Amino acid sequence: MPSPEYIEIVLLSLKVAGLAVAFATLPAIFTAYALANWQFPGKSILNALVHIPLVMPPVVTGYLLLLLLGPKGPLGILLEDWFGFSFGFRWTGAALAAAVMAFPLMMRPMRLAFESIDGNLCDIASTLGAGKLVRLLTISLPLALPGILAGLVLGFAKALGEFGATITFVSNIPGETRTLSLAVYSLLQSPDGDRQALILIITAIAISFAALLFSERLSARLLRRGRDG
Amino acid sequence: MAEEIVVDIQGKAGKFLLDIAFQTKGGVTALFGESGSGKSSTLQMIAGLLKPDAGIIKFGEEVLFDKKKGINLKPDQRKIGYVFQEPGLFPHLSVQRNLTYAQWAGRRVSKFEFSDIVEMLAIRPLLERFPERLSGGEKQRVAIGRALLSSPEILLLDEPFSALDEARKAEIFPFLETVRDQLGLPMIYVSHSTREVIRLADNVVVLKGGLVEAAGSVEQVFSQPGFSDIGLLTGKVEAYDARYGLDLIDVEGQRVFLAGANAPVGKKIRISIHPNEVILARSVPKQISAQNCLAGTVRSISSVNGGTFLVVLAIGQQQLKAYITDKARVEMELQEGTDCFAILKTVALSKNGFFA
Repeated sequence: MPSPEYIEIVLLSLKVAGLAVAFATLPAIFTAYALANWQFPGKSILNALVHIPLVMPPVVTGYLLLLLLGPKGPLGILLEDWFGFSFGFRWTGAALAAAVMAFPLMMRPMRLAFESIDGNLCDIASTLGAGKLVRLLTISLPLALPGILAGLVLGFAKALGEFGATITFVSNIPGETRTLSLAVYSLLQSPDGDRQALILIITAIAISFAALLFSERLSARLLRRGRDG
Repeated sequence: MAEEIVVDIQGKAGKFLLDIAFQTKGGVTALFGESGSGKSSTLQMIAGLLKPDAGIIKFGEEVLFDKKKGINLKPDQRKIGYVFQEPGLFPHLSVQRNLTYAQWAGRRVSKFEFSDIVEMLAIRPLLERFPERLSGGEKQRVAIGRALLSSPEILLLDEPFSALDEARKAEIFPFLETVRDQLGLPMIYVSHSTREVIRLADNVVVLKGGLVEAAGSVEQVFSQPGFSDIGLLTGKVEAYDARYGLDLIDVEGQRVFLAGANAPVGKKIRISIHPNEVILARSVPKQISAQNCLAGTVRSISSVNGGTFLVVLAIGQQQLKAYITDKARVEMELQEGTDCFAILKTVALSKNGFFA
């Protein structure tokens, strides 16, 4: 029988990963679209900036988040003053850390998807009377959907496994910020935690596997609708 | 519907400069030239997909682009149907949704009935399918239908057949002729094929290196010296000889037999004859297999190269071209003003003839 702690950890991890993906989805789609379609000054800087979490040590990302949004960080104080809201040592903070770490992974397949759309299609849509927003909603987004879904799944998997930035930013608090990876780490620290850690590890593998299968199914269904030959 | 279309634009297209001016009033206007002459760029500027540096584009009273007044309508504000080289069907939408895209996404009200267009282009059986399951020819027909249903005031076609093989072209061309004949929609047609221009267009604008080299009716332009390889006669279908399967064409009061014209009596028809296919004679030959013998007068004789001469023969108001050798010219005593006959093989006409 799964212990209440086990259930708590798994549910918290799903909650954190879900919120992280929710945080990152719209910015990732927007950034991917902008990088794929627009020419603007500072484009290469933006590109480097969004990829930084991918190459920086996660501990550094977590520490920067702490400096900026922690209880004593300038933005953290502003949020506390204006909205009475704080990321510090809360599960929402864990989600934010995971979102930042997952962002570049989510953005990449989306950008590739936008880039692979035949530019002629948008020109044609415009001659058929579709304005910018309508073209985005009826052509670009539907055609990029497989890439967007791939980004969501990758991001979810990354958020689920995020460790370094999370533990640095919001610590390892049972019931609040102790997600799957953090729990496995904690259990491995204690002399008789191996068995419980193994159960969590198997759970993590199962969730990742299920997410991948789900996305494969979905994109296969989308692809069946076909592409112009 | 016969609104005057005025195009007078200057701009950059890739590396070279465009300076294009022409006007046209209804019918089919061909933009003709080699690749890199600026045809497609001109079309894209008319549609608003490329921006000219200067100039003006207008349909009747409606100004689409005017640099001086700072007017530049976006493509979705111009009522222009555009058919590209590649059909560009939206792969995630069914044929039906593709065809009606301008209505549900572009908020346009089609002035043609959906079912009329679908029948005209014979695409009803395809409506439920997705683009990946269409042949190249079917795709291009759907693309034409989609453009027609966007309530256009003009249809622009950018070499719509260049991606298709000869058999597919032959399959689709009649549909385009039907569109031209039944809808009365002005068209601008980009092509580098004289055959397509002769078959489809009323007027032609010849582009070279980004400039207009010649413009006028197809007959006028192709009778100019630069087009010595193209001979054209225009006539009217007078009768159909069912016994031999030949159409009898009235050309300037004289008769020409044509095979497989497949056109109704009374229809104007354009016959193209390569100057190599024309035999000249000083008198009417007897018991000859060639069916057509047109009386004319030599208008001009000019040396083409090494012993070949181009004879331009006036036949009524029209003219016909023939290549002959220097020997034939001397022996027949041909000179300007000489009356002679042009012998045309019906077989050569049906092989190389294009029907407008």
